[in-house]
Amino acid sequence: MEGLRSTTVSDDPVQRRDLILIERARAGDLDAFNDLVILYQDSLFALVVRMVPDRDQASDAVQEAFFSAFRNLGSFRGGSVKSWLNRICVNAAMDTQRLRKRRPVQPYPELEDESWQPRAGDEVDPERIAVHAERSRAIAAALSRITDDQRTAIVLYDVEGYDYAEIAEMTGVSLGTVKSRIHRGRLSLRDILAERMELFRG
Amino acid sequence: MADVNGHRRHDPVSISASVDPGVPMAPSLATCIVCFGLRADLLVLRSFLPTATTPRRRRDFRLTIADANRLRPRGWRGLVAAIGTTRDGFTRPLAASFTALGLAGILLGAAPGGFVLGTLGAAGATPVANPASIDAPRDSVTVPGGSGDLSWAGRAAAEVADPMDSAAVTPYTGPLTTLSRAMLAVGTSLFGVRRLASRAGRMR
Repeated sequence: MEGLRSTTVSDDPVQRRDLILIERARAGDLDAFNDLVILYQDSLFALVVRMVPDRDQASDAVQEAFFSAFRNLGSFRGGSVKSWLNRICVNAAMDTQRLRKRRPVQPYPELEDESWQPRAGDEVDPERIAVHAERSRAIAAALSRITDDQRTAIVLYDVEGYDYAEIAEMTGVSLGTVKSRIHRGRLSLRDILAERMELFRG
Repeated sequence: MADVNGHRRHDPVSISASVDPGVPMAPSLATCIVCFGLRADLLVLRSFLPTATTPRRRRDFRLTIADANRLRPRGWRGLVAAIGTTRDGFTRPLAASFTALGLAGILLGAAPGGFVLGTLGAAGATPVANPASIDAPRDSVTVPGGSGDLSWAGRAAAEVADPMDSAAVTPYTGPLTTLSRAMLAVGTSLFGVRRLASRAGRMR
């Protein structure tokens, strides 16, 4: 794997697999790239749909992100392929947010249970599943009502686990701004959900 | 009963920040039950967020062969499509080199000593016709420095050919200057092509 850093390649089988796929994709193997798509499309869609609360627009953003990744395979310089794809998706989601400001659409409507992704390790108890689904819809609706910047910051920090510096770099703002967006975003979420907090406390 | 009035003086942002691991607790948490309840709610929401389910994707994002050909064309189309992109490691240095050489050549040609260089470089080239030589009899004109007839026309031509006599000298377009101008034009054109290609690529 010439041209790529090999720091932890030998330790992590997932990373090793991803780097092999990237190399084959660079050499022109479309199936190798599509293998990466299969591996990561669910998690990347989940990331983007949290940032862009419209399923169709989120789908367009994810598709555009994969197009961009394929077009710019040469720009991958090693490290985690998942992180690289994540960053491309975050950029695509932020581009979509900017477009949405010019052409606002309704956030995703109330959805039937079957249309939401089941999480790994979900309880088999139907009541707990129903409560979890209800909480998920409530929080998704609340997320759609805060600002794009706050939503992006909260998703990247509280959901994806990026730190302040990484978020600042990805979004092009200062550390202080990132912190402010996260903290104020959480307060806004809590205000929106004030009358439904019992659903989460239970 | 919660002291709501007292709570209004407390900073909710510091309460929100205290939810993060490693952040010291806000002082009001020890005395204000409203702040305590707020922090508890924020902790609950923060812990739930990563586990929340999301809408299921309806689309398969795998690329088709047509997508691949459009995004990474092969052959000469690929070379053309690469211009102005991160894959282009050729046109930018080429454009910079042409532009730099062109500017350098023009500056050299414009400098007083550079004029000499320009004329020296023009050895064997046809000089720009000057009025003094046009009317002179053909057989009486001599090339400066050569042996031959020293008629008044020849002497006039020799005087006019003195490179230091700028008042009587017709501007001399030597090959160096011409070549430099051409290189500058090529270099700036390449930069323009790169810019256009980069914009076209962003719109694709």
